[in-house]
Amino acid sequence: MHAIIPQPVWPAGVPKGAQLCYVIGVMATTTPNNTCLSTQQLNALRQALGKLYVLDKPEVLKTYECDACLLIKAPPDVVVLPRTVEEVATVVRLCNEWRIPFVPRGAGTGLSGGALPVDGGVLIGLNRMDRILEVDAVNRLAVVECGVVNAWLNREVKPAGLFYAPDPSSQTACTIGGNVAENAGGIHCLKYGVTTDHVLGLEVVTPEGDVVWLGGRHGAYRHVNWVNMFVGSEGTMGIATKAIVKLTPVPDSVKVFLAAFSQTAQATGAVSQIIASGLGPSALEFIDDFTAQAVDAAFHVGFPKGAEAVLLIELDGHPSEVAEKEVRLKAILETFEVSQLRFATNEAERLQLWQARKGAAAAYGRIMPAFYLHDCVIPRAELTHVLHIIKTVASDYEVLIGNVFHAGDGNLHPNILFDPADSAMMARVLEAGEVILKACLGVGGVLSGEHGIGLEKAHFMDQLFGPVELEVMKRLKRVFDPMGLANPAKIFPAGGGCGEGRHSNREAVKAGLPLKQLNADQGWV
Amino acid sequence: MIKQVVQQLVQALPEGLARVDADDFVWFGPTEAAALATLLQTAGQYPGLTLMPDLGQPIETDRRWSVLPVSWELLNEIVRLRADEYLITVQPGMTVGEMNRILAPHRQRLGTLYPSSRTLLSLIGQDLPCLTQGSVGSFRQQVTGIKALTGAGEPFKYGGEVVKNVTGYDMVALLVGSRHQYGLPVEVTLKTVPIPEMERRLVIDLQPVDETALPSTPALMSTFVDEIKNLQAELNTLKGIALFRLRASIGWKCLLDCGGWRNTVQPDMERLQAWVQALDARGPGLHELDCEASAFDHWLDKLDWQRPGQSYNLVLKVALPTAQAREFLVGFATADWFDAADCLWYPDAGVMYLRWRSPNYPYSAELETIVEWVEQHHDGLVTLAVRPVNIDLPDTLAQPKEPEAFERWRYRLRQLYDPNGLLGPPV
Ligand SMILES: Cc1cc2nc3c(=O)[nH]c(=O)nc-3n(C[C@H](O)[C@H](O)[C@H](O)COP(=O)(O)OP(=O)(O)OC[C@H]3O[C@@H](n4cnc5c(N)ncnc54)[C@H](O)[C@@H]3O)c2cc1C
Repeated sequence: MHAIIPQPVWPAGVPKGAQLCYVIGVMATTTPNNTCLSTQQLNALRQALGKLYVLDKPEVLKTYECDACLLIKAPPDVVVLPRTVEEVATVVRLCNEWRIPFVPRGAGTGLSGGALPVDGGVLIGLNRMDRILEVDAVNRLAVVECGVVNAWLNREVKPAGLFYAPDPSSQTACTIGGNVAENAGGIHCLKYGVTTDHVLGLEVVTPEGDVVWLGGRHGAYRHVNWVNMFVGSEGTMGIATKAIVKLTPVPDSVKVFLAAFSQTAQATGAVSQIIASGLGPSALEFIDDFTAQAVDAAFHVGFPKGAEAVLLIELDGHPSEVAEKEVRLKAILETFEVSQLRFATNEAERLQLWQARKGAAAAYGRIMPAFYLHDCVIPRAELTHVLHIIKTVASDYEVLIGNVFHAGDGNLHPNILFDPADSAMMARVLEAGEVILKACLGVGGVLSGEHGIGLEKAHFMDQLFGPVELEVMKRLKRVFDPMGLANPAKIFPAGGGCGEGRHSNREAVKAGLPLKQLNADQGWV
Repeated sequence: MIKQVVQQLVQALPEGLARVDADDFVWFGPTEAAALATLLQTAGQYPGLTLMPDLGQPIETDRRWSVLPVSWELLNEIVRLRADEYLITVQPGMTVGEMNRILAPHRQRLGTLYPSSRTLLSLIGQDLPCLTQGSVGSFRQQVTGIKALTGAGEPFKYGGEVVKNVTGYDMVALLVGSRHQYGLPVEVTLKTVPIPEMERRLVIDLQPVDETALPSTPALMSTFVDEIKNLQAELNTLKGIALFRLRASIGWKCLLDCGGWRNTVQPDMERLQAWVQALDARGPGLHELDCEASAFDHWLDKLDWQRPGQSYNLVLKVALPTAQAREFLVGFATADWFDAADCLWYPDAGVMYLRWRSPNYPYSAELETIVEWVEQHHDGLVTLAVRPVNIDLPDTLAQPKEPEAFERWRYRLRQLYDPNGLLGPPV
């Protein structure tokens, strides 16, 4: 059995008593013969994929015990690494036969615990499906396998004067499949849109084991928009194995400005003005002083000292358009107390600024071993108000909070830093997070703009949706996955505990209950 | 029999919800979401009835007692305007024209360009492509929030006055383009865009006016499609483009929407003039550039091809990537069925419409050729844009072959979101 040492703290909503849910800082040991899969089942997987690509050694499984949300860990029972869509389909069909859950996983950079097999079963790593199959520059699209890393695709299409617009800060590691599953955003999504706006077609292994194409190069559909429904479904509607994505022409001219403000409210005021002016920047990012200093210490970009906030503002387009926008941007900024305004004078400087921005998470690592990141979106006019609340929360709960976020979208990212070894701090971190989240919902915000709900925010869903609304939303899962095997226990608040559910499901499987009853009674969905 | 059922339903409903028209037919005009929910819940208890959202067009055909129109005419209030956020929240009975009128004093409008008479309800049902799709995105991308009712009258919502959202499943994707089969919208938040400092909306007559000197059609087509590609590359402020030909008027035309700062639009207009002159120099006759806004609006309205109740025998929507669409236009330019069709192409949206008025034409075999070429050989998709009349459809169109999984999913969608079968044919 999994040896669970009593928990020092428990994140709100993550069910107590769950065998596989436990908070960082707690050790778990697993032995091969305590997996939920029988030897025959493991052998069947080995036969399908080859011995090398079925991992069940505890020390190897540990690699997969969490994603970038360091609050929750759940080592998988077994990890499989398929190379082809047929292999993925075979694994899913076997899971159907055995009635055990399966969980897709990309690079594991997810920030909401989405890739954790908390209900046990098979973790399907897509990383070997990493080929860029086609770049069609004429039609401005690419066909890729879903284990392709976001940045690789961009590297590949750059010579054709094109880029793949969704650019999460984790793009050097995260996969296109993970981006699709989370509907990932990024710095330039303000102008170019999020993942769902760039996916034309998806090859999907359905939870029932079929292989189908949703959409296609044409990007059209017959009365049901399967593609947009699937994007953002966090692996709960099936596994994406290939994607046809749109490519965008690299703009003729790009200019990045750095504006430093002595007061946060001045910076957020400028954000609102820039948006209201209709200037249409391609990126508009907010970095607070704490983060700017951490980043500067790590990347030496020369962020100004003593400013409460920095905005990175990017304008792109035809050179004449950029020139015109620059004039207008400067006019707006003049009406605020800007302590420093400069711009990247060349491509290298521009990239350095963005690398620094994208490296904020790494920079926090120099201060504290881990951080807990929220991802609410609020109306942009509420930024000043909510940032003030965040500041108060930091001081009330005695925690360090760094703010670095997509201000143009109103997509906050308060990073609450913590030391997993300090259980008292952990408790404060979790509470602080909850207060911030409630404040965001209070101003008409939503729980997540790009990181998804996963496991970590599932228990907040009933603060945004009523029971009927949640039930109506849940039905969509049932459409694709009536057995509830695809990435269970995610997105929706668990009726019972995730581990409890798992346990009883397994008991039911052992008892040989019919599928229908299992599905209806055990509440995997 | 069904008339009696309808009368029972009318009696069971709160006063004022059911109306009777001059021909004694019953229709419904809810004034608020709660009334619509009551209608759905009550009507669900009477089997055999279908509620048909009135998309703002007269329902001319198919008047049957079992199909009961629901009008959104009284669900057309503005809920909130957040001009500073570039968002507007309205009830879906509102028309594009009304929304743009509300937005105009704030120098804003909807980004997607549709005829003024279109209701938001119809746009949600159909997810129509539009001229400006290349610059602002699809209609679905404009919707940031929605409140709706399932076929059983249960309320649900997704998003709101936020421009980005991944909180749970994308319920907007479930509703937009689904022809109201899985739910009825009651409140929608849409993105708006600033009205540019300078705009030029133009119509170019691409075909020589002197028809006697007409070059062969394939040559003409290949020139045009390439010219359009060049034009797109050359204009920096181009927001939208469409290429079309109506049989009733002469030749191919091009609609262009340019907008931006004055000093960026003006050079584009000079480039455009030069492009037209170059075209003139090459072909006989005149290529006209019509800059009258009214001409643009006239054509925009005429190109509203997915409008229900129009008397066309067949309207096909052909979705193809740009290069394949060019191949289609050039390759089929001499085909009789192509010659008999009205054609509209939104290159940026990857959508082409073909429309025929002639009874019983094109023939089934020709339609089969189109579907085969598009779907089997060129990664495209052919759909029926409106219900066909008097046309012998091949199976490939009448019952398109789809993966078995889709059939299961569609079935479950109807079962779960419209258990009483009120919003479409029973499952
Ligand atoms: C430092 C840092 C910065 C980040 N910045 C951003 C940012 O700017 N914007 C942003 O949006 N996110 C950001 N993220 C979050 C994360 O990188 C994204 O959510 C990313 O899309 C996850 O991709 P992945 O391959 O790592 O997926 P994983 O973490 O492996 O999985 C994420 C979810 O997707 C599912 N999944 C994975 N692959 C598939 C597939 N092929 N088919 C179906 N489901 C699948 C999993 O089951 C899981 O639910 C950041 C993370 C870190 C650590």
